[in-house]
Amino acid sequence: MKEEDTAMNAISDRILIVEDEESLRKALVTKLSAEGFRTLESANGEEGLRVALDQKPDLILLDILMPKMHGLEMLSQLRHNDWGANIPVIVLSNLNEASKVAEAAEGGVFDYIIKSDWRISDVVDKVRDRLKEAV
Amino acid sequence: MKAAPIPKNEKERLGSLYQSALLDTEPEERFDRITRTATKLFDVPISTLTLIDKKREWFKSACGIDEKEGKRAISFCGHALTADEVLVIPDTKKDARFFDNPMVIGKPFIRFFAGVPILNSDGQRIGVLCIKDTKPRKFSKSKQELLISLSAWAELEINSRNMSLALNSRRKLEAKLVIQEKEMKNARDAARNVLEDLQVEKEELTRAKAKDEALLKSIADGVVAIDQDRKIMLMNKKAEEILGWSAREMVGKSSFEVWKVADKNGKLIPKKNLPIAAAFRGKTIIADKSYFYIRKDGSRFPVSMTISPVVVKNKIVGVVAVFHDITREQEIDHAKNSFIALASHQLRTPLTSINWYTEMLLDGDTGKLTKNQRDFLNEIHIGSLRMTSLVNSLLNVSRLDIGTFIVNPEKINLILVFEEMLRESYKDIQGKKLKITTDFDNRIPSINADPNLTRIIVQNLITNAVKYTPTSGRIRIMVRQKQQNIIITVADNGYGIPKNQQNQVFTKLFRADNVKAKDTKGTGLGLYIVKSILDAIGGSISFESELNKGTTFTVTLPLQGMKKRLGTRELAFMK
Repeated sequence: MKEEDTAMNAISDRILIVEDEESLRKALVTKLSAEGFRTLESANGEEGLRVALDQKPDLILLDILMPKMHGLEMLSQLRHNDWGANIPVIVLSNLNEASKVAEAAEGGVFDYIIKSDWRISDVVDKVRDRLKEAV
Repeated sequence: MKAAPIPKNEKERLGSLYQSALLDTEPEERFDRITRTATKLFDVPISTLTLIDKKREWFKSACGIDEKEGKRAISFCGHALTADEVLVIPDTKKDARFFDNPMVIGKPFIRFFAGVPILNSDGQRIGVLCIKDTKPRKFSKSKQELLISLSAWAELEINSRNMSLALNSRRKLEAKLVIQEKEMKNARDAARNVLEDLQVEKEELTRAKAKDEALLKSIADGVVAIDQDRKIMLMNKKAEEILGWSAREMVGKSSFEVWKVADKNGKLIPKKNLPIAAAFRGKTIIADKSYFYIRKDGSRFPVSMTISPVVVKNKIVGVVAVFHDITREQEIDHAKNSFIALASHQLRTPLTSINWYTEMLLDGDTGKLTKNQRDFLNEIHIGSLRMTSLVNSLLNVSRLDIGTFIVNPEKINLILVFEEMLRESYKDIQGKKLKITTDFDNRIPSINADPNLTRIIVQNLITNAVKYTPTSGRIRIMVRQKQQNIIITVADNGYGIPKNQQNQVFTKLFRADNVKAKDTKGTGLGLYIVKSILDAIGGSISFESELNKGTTFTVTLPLQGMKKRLGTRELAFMK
């Protein structure tokens, strides 16, 4: 961990993790925290939307297949919000549903990562990159 | 001398004479009996039974002379032919008609003649019975009557001969009749047989027609035939059921009126784009995905159809379409896809968990690890990564099999894809000290291809070459353009594929025996996936290989690229 990264992290970066699988959510929280990020968690889309609009994190890691409201639905609603229209979103999924991807292109710009194909440290790198771009 | 007169009915007379069939026949005892009797009875040297022919007198029986015939004109019998009952010449020398007759003044010197005409059964005078002497004689009335009786006897004999001839000819006729009757019977039987055969054939035809109709009726697919004027010629029961129109309503009508083909949004396909247009140009079209039919009641359903031209004597006379409703199949497809999506999600989630926690342990997030801990965790990680790769391959195979994978073409620089995939395999290439040579033709245009699918193909070719070539081996990659295709060649000098297993190379889960022992990591699905993709986009793949010498794979990609394919699912590409 570099000092400058820590400094940057400490100032601003809160990551909202919306993921219904507890094991994966816990892993992400652990890793991101270890890398110096602050984290927020939600276990479904409905809660995730509420927390997002309420807490206004700096980036959202979003799963798709979730109970109550799935990720793309949440994303679509998020984008209708003035603040929500611009927040960086990385979709983390284990589906390669390209048709859903096309559908979700209406959900504005976002990254699409297949969890089982990515190392967790690479996910963290991606988070950093997106945050850098957003600045 | 007076020549013997020709009677008026000479023609009929001759006819009758010839009918008697006596002329020029052998002498017969029953006639010789008569002439003999005559000579004895009248005490004359000569007696003949003469037949008067056109120009001659011919003796059926002659007693006392050797001649068989003589000239009619100078004959006595010729004269006697026209006599009423009998012609008597007591002294020829004293008769003005005969005194200078050659037979009087010369041999045989006839001085006396008496002759009676012989009548055939039809009354015609055909000859004469006569007696002759060399000296003049008196011939009393009673003697004349005797001669007349003898002539009657001759007539009887002729008649009986006629009768037996007639009987014979009648018998012959009868025999002929019997034969004719038999022939007629045969002809009748033959005709009857032909009729029966015809009947049998007719029944066969009726049966065949009934069979055809039954077949057509029971074909589980709808069948519609259209003639050159685009009118409906016939349709079967299933078509009626599927479309909701009865054959009565549809036959004879323009196909555009009643057979409506639309896309998935219900928009009617324009006439020139309809598959039947292509069929009329001679093509057979199999359209099993994108078309919908609209029923009589306006409802829409997805359909799979095959349309082909009907050719009679090299001319296209119509088009026949066979189709069935695939609503159920599409439902099953959707169900399958949902299942796969769910399965993929369910399989990948625990794998992700294993991967990430193992990675975090290996990254030292929980503290320093001992060597053993590190090694064991590596093993777990490797196993988990392999599992992930296998799940991806299985998902791809499922999608390929269902045929629902997406093709999203973009302009692609193939060479860049190769360079990217080579970079990905860099670690393995370095580790095995493999020598890679590339020969890329820079003039190759970019092709329209789905980047994902292209990566899968290239990655597979490269990783296979790397995997199956031993340390310090050589891999040569060539990309060239040839007419309307791009040809990719990947040649290695590695383990090769045993000849007796080469025909299985593109089958699912196949791994050759010689590499299974060396490397247990392969899934055996890569080439199956690559071939399936290439088949679907109009490309091809082939190889040449020799055990322990190496393998060369050749892939052909059409320059026109991949057609955009709607499908529903992207294939998985794993880094």
